Amino acid sequence: VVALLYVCRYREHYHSSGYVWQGRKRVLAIQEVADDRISIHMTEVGRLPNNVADYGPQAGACDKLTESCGSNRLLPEQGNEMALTIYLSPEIEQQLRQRAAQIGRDVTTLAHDLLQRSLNKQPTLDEIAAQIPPGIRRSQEAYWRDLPQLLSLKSGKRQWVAYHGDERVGFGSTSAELFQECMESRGLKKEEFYVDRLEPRALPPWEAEAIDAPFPWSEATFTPSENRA
Amino acid sequence: MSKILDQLPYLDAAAMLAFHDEQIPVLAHHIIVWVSIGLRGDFRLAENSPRIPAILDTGNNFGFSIAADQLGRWCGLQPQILEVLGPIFINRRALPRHAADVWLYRNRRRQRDTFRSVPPFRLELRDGIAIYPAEDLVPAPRLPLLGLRAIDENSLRCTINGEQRTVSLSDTKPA
Repeated sequence: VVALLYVCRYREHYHSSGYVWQGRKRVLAIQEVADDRISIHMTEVGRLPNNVADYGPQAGACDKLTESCGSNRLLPEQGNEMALTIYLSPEIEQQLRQRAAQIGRDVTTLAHDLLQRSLNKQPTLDEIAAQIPPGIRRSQEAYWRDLPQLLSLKSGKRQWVAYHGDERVGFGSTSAELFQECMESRGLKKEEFYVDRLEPRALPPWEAEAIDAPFPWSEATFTPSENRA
Repeated sequence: MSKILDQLPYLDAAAMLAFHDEQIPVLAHHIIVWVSIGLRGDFRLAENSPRIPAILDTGNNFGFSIAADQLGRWCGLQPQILEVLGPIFINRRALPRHAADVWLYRNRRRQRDTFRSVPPFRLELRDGIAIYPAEDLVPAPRLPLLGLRAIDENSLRCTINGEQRTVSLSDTKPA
């Protein structure tokens, strides 16, 4: 929202159009890390150096905290993403790391989460994770705990495994078999058990993996004949 | 080994897809497949499950994603009835993953919108489906996306024939 207001005002004042950040560098400084949001302040610091990585005393201190604010709705003329790098002062960075350590979260994910909460009202990762039914969550934790041992048990008939809380219900060649076992044979409800593959996972099932879907920004709207022209 | 998509054609020009009362623009080189969304773990797809279009997007590294609006209007399903399995970060947006299976319809050879009389193929997705909430700042994809992970996770074999502009997909497991 801040970005959008600034672009509108800038264009109106200078009677210009286009991408207001072109050739300029804008630094978003984090002012405060609160429990539920990050307050940010944006300042203009001059022309954008050719190598943005060289800029600023804290450049590279938190490279991963690059918030993509662009969208078709925010910058309709551009249709592309805008990367804004947020530089943290050492105090703020320490505050953020302490907060992440307190709640057992990865610092980058926490920063994303807090920023997202500041910028819009969509649910955060934590809020989505809180929607997991407790029975499924307990079963996910048991599955995650046992997964390293389970992997060696994998076979044609053991492709999937079901957990009801700490209890391993059994293995199956399809997930449907296990749903039948849990629901029809044991009378469990869907929110009381969890079924997953006997395959490695990078993250626990209740945590968020980062997915980069190239839609809709990379959607090519030309036809081959137009392309050739 | 069973065929799922049998030389399913895709176009090299934009076209419109008539679906319900809507005309949906389909861009060049979009691979349109037909799917149904079912409750997770069902052995058979409910007979009245609506068939909806989706884009087979091999550049997408998730299994299946759909807008809540499409799920409601097209499939008659509300996200609330599908259990939340966890969050996912798609294009840096936090989205919920819901428990559901995706059923992929088997086309007649070289025909995109007509189907064989055999039951659709159930794609078992360990992480469920991602649902874009309604009224999100970031627009959801115009059509649901069937990503590469769905093919990978179900050990399917996909062949894209650029000369004929067809896609074939088969199940590698013995029937």
